[in-house]
Amino acid sequence: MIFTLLFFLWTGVLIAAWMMPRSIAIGATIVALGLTLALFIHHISDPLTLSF
Amino acid sequence: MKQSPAVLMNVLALYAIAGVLFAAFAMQFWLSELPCPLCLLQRVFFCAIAAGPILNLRYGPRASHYALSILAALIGASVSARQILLHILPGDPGFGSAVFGYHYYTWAFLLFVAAIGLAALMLLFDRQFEDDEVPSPSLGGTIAVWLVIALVAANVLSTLAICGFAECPDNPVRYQLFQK
Repeated sequence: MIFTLLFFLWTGVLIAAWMMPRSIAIGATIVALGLTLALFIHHISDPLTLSF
Repeated sequence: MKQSPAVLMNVLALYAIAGVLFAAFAMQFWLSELPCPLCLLQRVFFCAIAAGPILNLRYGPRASHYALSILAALIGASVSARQILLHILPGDPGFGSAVFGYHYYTWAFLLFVAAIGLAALMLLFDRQFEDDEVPSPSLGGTIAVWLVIALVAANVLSTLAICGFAECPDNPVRYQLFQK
């Protein structure tokens, strides 16, 4: 479910990059990048839940 | 390189990203190879790379836009490298099929590195940043932007079908959403 939400988040971010003011678009991209990186770090710190 | 050739390169980058996302869907549907969580994460970072070119088309080329794409590609390459390392032991068959001898995650790693290299190359051309004028989006550029957004949105539906409302399976073999 978390990956579904992640793709949903990025859909919103890319739409914002095209349609919203630049500052909001860049802010949203940085926040989304941070959240996606956090998910990766969470997964690598818990190998039992990470697939290959 | 002036602004208009730089904008054209960004349009081409968006079509390349759309091609990668389309290829991932092709493998998923035609070969029935469902993506694992790490594979999904790599797809997410390909989507994230698109933010830079979209901002460049909308507001004109800026170094900060290229930086966002480089950051996304750098983290994406880390995800691919982790998956390569998970399968590096001798005798490990790897995950999924091999295309031209390399598994999908190896191709993903090479593509992320290529994206970093290409974005760095684009940053070499200072004249694209001198023009403060916001470019008017071309039809080809607008189509590229919405094509990528549509493919990212399609991933929302695809991932929902694969994982359902639970945690995504490590080695998915069927669409969880349609399981009774």
